[in-house]
Amino acid sequence: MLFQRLLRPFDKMRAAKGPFAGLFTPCSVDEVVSIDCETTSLDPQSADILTIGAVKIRGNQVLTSQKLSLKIQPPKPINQDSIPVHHIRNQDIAGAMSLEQALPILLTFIGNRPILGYFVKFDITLINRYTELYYGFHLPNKPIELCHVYYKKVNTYYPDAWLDHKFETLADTLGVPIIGRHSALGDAITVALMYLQLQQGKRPKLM
Amino acid sequence: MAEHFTFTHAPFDLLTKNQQKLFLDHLDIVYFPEQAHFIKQGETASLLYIVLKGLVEEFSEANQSIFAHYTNNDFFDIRSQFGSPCKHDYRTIEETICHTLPSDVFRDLLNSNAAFADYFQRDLAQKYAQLEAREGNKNLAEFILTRIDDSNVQPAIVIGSDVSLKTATKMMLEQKLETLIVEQDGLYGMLTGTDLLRAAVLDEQTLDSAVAHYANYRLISIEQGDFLFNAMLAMTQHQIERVVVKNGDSIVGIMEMAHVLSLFSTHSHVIALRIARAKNIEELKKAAQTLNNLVENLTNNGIKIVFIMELLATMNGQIMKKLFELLVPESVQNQVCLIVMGSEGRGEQILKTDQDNGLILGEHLIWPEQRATLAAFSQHLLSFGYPPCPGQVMVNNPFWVKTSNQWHEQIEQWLLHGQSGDSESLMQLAIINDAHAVAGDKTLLPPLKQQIIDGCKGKEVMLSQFARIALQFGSPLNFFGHIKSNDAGLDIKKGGIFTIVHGIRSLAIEQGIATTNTLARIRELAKLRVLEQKQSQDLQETLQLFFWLRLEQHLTPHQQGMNLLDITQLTPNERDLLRHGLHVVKKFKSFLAHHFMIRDY
Repeated sequence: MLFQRLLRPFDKMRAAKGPFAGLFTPCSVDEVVSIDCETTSLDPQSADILTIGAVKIRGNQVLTSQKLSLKIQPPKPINQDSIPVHHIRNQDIAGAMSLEQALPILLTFIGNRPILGYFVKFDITLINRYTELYYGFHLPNKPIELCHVYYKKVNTYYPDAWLDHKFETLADTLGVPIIGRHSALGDAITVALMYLQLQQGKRPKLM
Repeated sequence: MAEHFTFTHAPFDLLTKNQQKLFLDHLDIVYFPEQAHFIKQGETASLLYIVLKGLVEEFSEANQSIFAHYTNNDFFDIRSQFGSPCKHDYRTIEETICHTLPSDVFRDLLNSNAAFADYFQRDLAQKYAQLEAREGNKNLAEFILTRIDDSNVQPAIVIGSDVSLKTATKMMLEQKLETLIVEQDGLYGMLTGTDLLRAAVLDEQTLDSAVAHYANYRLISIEQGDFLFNAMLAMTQHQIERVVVKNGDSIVGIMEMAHVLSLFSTHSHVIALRIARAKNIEELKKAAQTLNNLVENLTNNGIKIVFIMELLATMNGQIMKKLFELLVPESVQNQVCLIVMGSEGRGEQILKTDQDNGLILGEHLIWPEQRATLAAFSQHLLSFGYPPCPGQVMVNNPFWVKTSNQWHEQIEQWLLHGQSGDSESLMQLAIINDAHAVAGDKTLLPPLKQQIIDGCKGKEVMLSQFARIALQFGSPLNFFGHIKSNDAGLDIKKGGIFTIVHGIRSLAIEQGIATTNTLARIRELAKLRVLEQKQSQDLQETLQLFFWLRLEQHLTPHQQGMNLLDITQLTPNERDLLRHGLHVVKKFKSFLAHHFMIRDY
């Protein structure tokens, strides 16, 4: 991460000519984008993105009316083993857009907002692989890891507690309903709600 | 792909696919922490909120009262969607997540979908009907609510009073009839086979003598178009086998018990018969114990609560009457009057409720075993499953057994104390005002009630003191207040039923209305134009709804308190109705305050 941070001026320089120069400006609005990708595997270096869900958070609102939900056709057919996890079959994405087409839509949507996610590093690494490929820069956005936010809030009061970071456990502890688990948009919304709870609600009780 | 809003519950299931898409495209989610006061009175609404998870309270900061609670799948605030400012404040009781829909999109949907718009625009009565229609399959016993028409009435053959016994018998045999209607100078009487036998066999009349003398002219009749149930009720009440069906003044037919029974699947009349035929207390007890099952059956079959209450009032009355007749010596029976009070007096109990009874003694009564007999009476009722009255309003308490004159003096006393604002006395007056005579010399009761009405006439200050009691439970959901929703319950008796019942009682005393049933009183008050037509309808519907909710709550196991309503157990539709109902109560309270000029309640 630090290495990439050091390279950012070069990234910015390269992006300055393209349509994404705005990504490198400081975030001007009080908004966060919650993002989630469904992929063909769990290795960020080789996985292909199948769907991307993203939703903006402003104040205490999750702006589902401005949601982003993209289906993407991977370069090679979906590995059979992963289908039971994400429930996306080959026929579901037949004829969908390519990642090259999807990327500008996603980047325009995210803008210079911080990116929130559950194990967000995975999603950002994935996207960076493609921005590197097509535009020659990495996403400069500030990442917000839900698990860290959770840890910070809870750890002060339960310093010795072993924290279970499973998605369902997290939602349950925070009292947030799980919306469409394992659909990219549903997970993005659920994460957004958990984030709002952590930001504004009371500290969850672990016992 | 799974959508983040499910359109399965009312009224959103009414939207078409395209409308659902429009709905989703504008839907946001908002998060509120605990105790967030997010809508303030007087604000213009720009959003419709639909609760995804949590609990929201509608209240008024200005006068510290609570109006409603909204939880999963409920929505608010409908009234302010059309440009008028919000009438109340809203705050969260728990952390709450709501879907929000912009008001203009909501209005567009209303404009483009008539069924959807309808759902929001119906008033309480209609909404109630809509709910009932949705739960249609529960209404298995619709036939009980069948109205009396040509298809279920037996034709009546009217004969002149000069027809001979022989001709009458012949007609009955030929037409296979059980009864004939005899007309004598415009008066109608009923002639049965038994009457003919009595004439021919016992009185040894000749076969060509006229039937006029043997017909029974005291007919119990029922209007055509009335519910079958009421015919049944009339027969049960008068302990007869047939009633005449009339259309205005003309007789259109006869309805027989056997016929009605064949249409009935429940055992209500069987129980009534068992009560009537009970020869000893043991038999009566067995009959009484089956009553609760009957109520449960009727409720599960979807019978309207009014009918259940009416039937139950009749049954309970008959049980007491029978017990009274079994215990009290015949010579005494005609000199005393057994009265029931409270909900029983108003005919509003839904299950066997507390014994609220008293006795009016004749002036010249000599009855040495009085105390022992009355103690036994209360004891037996207890064994029948009627719990004792917590306020000791029972015949085994000498305070509620008085001679007519003593009663008059007592009421005079209460009236006197009531004028100086003694709420104890006022409540006693309220109790005796709802009395209903069930057995003995029923003429003893009306003078007492008349005394109350006369005593209150023109005493505005006292009436206002009296009515104030109805307003004492400040907010409808008072009991629930700031308690966490999980272990909370709503006291439907204090929050709704008592306010309506007592408020109506106050108005009834003021107007000198003698009837005791609250629904009947409301109708009377509407006739006298004390209440507006719409208001009276709303009040009646609301009261029925509350009774029904209470009954459901009674019948479901594991409930903690008798009068506590667990709102999380209700369906969104039911909660919706309850919310409407509580609003009606609130309006009624301000009406009462205005009518009786009560300030700062």
